[in-house]
Amino acid sequence: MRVRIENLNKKFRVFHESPLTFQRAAYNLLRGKRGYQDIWALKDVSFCLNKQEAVGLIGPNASGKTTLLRIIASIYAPTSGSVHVNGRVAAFFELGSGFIMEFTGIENLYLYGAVFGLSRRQVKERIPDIIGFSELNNFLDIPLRQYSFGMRMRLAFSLAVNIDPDILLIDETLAVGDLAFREKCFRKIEELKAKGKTLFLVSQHLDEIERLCERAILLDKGEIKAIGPAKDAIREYKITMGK
Amino acid sequence: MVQEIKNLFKFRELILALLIRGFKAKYKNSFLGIFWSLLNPLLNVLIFTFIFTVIIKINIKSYPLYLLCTIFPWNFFNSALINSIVSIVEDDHFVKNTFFPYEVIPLAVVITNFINFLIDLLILIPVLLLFGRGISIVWFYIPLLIFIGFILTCGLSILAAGIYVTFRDLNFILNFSLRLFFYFVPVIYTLDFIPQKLRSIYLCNPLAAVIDGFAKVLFYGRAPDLKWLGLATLESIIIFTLCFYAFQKIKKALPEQL
Repeated sequence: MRVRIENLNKKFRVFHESPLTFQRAAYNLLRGKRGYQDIWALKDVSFCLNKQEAVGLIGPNASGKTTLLRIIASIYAPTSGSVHVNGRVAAFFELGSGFIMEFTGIENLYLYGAVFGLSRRQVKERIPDIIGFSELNNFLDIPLRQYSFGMRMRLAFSLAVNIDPDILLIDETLAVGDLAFREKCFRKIEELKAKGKTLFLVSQHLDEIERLCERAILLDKGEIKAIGPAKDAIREYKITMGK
Repeated sequence: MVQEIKNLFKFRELILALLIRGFKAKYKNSFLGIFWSLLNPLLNVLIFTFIFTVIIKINIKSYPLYLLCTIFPWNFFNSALINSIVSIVEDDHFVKNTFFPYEVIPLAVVITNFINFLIDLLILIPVLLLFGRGISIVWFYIPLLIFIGFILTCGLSILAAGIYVTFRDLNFILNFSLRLFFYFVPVIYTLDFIPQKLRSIYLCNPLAAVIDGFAKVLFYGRAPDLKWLGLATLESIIIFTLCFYAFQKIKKALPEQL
């Protein structure tokens, strides 16, 4: 088992004045105001992710999908409950958002690899694969500023799938680029699965989830509403949305 | 704590990548960049020289040279803190989307400024020689002075960057405090101006001891007072440890607040 989550709860403290200042904090203190409210983003969530499977995570906006991914990636700490993760995790939110426009494609790959804890040598070993997959070989020494949005996405996705984690979490962008490249992305995800990796995918494109995932989890207002075969979870999602 | 510092070493590639980014942003790939980063402290030297030799006649011989010896360490401390306090907020996409020791972000900013400082010192050497301050055995104290200044700045910068995530008016407080603090270290005056009675309190400030150390070693060619330097070393290590520890405490909550 790669990921085991039991009775996970996550509370967020949302301040009315955000970002907070010392001035505001002192004011709230003197006035006896709380100045914040607590929001439960995840309520009693339990599930497992296994080796060699792709699991979809679906649900309406603000249902806690991204929060759940961030907790698995240990970016957020759980408020209560237990989270066990076996293996290296790589999570991709807002694909390509951390890229630096002044850096060339290659430099960005080194920087991003380093953020994921890869050494320069490890990134270097992966570069042929990344270049091969992205088909951007003519652009890699050009600053990212000159890239189109689609090209940046290609580079980010190619890095994500070649970073070689045991558990890959992807938020919202499963397949990027033009038609041909999207097909390639799908094939790559199938390939990773066959290699024994665990994939946890968030998407609003339900057909993509149905195509890639055996199982899916439906999250709504922080609670698991359905968990099981992807088809069933998607049907459930459509029913709850329909009413 | 030891574990966390070891972990930093594992992320040295990231620190290096952030350093390169810092230098690129600063110098925009031009050699003139070094000149630009020198301009600010040199301008200050000019202004203070004008004020304290033309308007108010201060009793320090070769006053501009004295300023050159003290302004660079101050400039390192000052600009490292000002640049690093906003660093975690500016790199929020990394912090929100990946898990790594976030202290590497302010640390990389401090190191960028530190390298700048070392370059400044290298440039200072020919100037010192030109004004007849020959190379001296007391220069062996320089690494110690640099070390104290570095870890003191590191500790404060890391914690400031962490607190700034939650309280966004900290940079106003910091700017104001630095401006005030400038008069509590011997940059524009020498230690002799501090009354004997107050001197032992004055030198409890580790940065004052360090900057006085630079003045003694570079300007006077004398050995610094080891008693105060020893105290400053101890204080800096304690400050670094406390700040680093406090950062570890607040680190987990940072991504949620960005």
